[in-house]
Amino acid sequence: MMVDHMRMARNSIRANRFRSFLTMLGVIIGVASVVTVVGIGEGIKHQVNRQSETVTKNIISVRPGRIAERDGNGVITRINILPASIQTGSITLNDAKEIELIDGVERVVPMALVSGTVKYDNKEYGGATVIATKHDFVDTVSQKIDFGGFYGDVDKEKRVAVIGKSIAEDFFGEVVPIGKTFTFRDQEYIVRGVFEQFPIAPLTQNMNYNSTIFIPENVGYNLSGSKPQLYELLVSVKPEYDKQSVVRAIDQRIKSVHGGQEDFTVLRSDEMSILTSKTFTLVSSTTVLIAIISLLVGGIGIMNVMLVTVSERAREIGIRKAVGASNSQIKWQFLTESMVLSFWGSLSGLLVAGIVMLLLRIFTNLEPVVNLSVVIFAIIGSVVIGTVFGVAPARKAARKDPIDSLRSM
Amino acid sequence: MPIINLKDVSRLYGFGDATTVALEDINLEINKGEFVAIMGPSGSGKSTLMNVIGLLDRPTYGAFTLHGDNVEALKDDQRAKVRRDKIGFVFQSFSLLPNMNVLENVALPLAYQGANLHHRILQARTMLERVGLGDRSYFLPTQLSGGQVQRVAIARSLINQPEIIIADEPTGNLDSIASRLVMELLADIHKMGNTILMVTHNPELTRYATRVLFMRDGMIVHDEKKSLGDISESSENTKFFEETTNEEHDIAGVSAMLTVETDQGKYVKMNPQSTKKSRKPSVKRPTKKKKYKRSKKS
Repeated sequence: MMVDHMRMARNSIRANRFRSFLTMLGVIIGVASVVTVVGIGEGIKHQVNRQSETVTKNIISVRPGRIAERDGNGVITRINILPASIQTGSITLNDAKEIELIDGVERVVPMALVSGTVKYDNKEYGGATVIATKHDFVDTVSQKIDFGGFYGDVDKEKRVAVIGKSIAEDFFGEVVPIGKTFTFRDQEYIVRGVFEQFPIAPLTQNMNYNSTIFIPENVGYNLSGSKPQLYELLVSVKPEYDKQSVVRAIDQRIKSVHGGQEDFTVLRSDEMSILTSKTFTLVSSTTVLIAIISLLVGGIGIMNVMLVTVSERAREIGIRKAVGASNSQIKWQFLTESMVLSFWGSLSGLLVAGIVMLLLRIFTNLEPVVNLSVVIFAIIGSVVIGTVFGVAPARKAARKDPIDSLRSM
Repeated sequence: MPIINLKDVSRLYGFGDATTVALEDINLEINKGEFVAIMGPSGSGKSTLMNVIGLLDRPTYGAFTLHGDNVEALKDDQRAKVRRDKIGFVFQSFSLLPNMNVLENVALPLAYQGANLHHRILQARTMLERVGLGDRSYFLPTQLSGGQVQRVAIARSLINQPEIIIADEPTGNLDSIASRLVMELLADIHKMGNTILMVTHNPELTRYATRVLFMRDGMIVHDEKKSLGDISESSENTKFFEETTNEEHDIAGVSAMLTVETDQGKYVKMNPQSTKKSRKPSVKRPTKKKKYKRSKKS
């Protein structure tokens, strides 16, 4: 009998295509938004993981401001989103020297932001970040140089620069702008090398190195006056040492240097993804909540249309009852119809989500992924909602008096 | 033993002062194999009687046995089961489901019986062949003519091999040729031993019936057994559009207007031609609509 109900549901949905589409619209939007939002979140997590596994592998990052709180075991318990970039002053070159003395630390690379805009061909370019760093940055981040090379220790005082891929393409307008000069704070710099494309991770507190211009540390420090603005210290750990114990050692050392003040954060690279996902959870949980509400509204939409349908199809109900349909058979027919509607709504929603995610992949740097459990949840959730909201119309249909129904029309 | 037995069956609508009596103390026995034509003016209770016999409606009072079983107190689902297995309906119009093709429409009662798809389609095809519409199996109802729709409806009413076929003005919307086809089909079915109850307004059609009932104001006022092929004589004397004009109306200037009573109430009919041939009714009509009194019952 269920098969028959489904066939009948298909018939009546087909007979009113446009109305059926409108009925499903709420469910479509709900499912599409849930799946897309979760997909974006998952995608970002993957991207950050990939970044920390390749570029910043085995690296500990020391940052100004209290980004994350840890419990006694060193596990991150809380994230503060805001203060990260605000307290740039709290880390100094002195801290870097202190960290170098810690057992197990291989190298410390300070990353200093230098303010100002770059000019090329009399055009200003606002999309670039200028960072002053040591020559061993390139060894620390394990990232290949596509063209040219990184500056060496001997280039400390020279005005040379290594640029990210986006800078080469957007600013210089060519793939290999080696030997080109640009102006920064009234001084000319020569491009020495171009980095390979860094894996990007949206929504992180990591710098996007693809649109960064790297200049030698001393050149940068001179521009910043007495105190360079350090936004991060990259610490590489000797392979035989445990990263977590080094993290703890750095934490204690700087705390004592800063006089017990916890105005900095020490993070393992693999913790970056936790940081990101925790940040994104805040965004996504509200969005998912809204999406679930829209799914509920979709269910109410189904109920409304089905209730109207019941009155409109009184004649049909009358005929069915006259030829021997029992009340429960009528009830199940209408219930099946709302279930089928919500099921197809969820499938269409998945299709929409797929298209949206594909477009996001093509036109933005987000790489959303389809999460199977969310897909299953969306389908089951919609069918459950369709069933729950289908009960009232189905009961109304089942209770219709056959004579009144036959008399209508 | 009669297949249908109504004993003092009444059907009332509404409460208190608004109570109207649709059926009043009907006593009726119908035997197997009878072809009963039910005639009477609109609002006389024909349809209500059909609905009660077809188990779509419940009598307010009285006993109703179908095949010896008491059915007046059955629950909704049990009544649905009786309708499904023992009764076939043919309505005046819109009797097919528009979203389904002809074959699916015919097979619908079997679907509710839970028969498997193969059996259903086979049976439905046989029935369609029988009404001469085997080549229209996959048409939608909207693609058929009125007469064809009614023949499909008859095929559907036959598919569960019912004991009674109830037809409420099956030819009401048809022209004379289509109507003859439909009636001959019903006559055929009758010849094979089926019991048929048919409501009609057309005296001509009584020629197919073996028994004619006349109803008025919820009562059977005349019950005539006749032989097949004859038109019921008393039907000639019955008029269906009651002339309600009288001297008062003439003075008021509304003599051309005629009111027609239907299930939905009184309508004013603007076409006096339709009553030209009507003669004085053979049965006296009470001047006032009867109000049912409860005291009378107890």
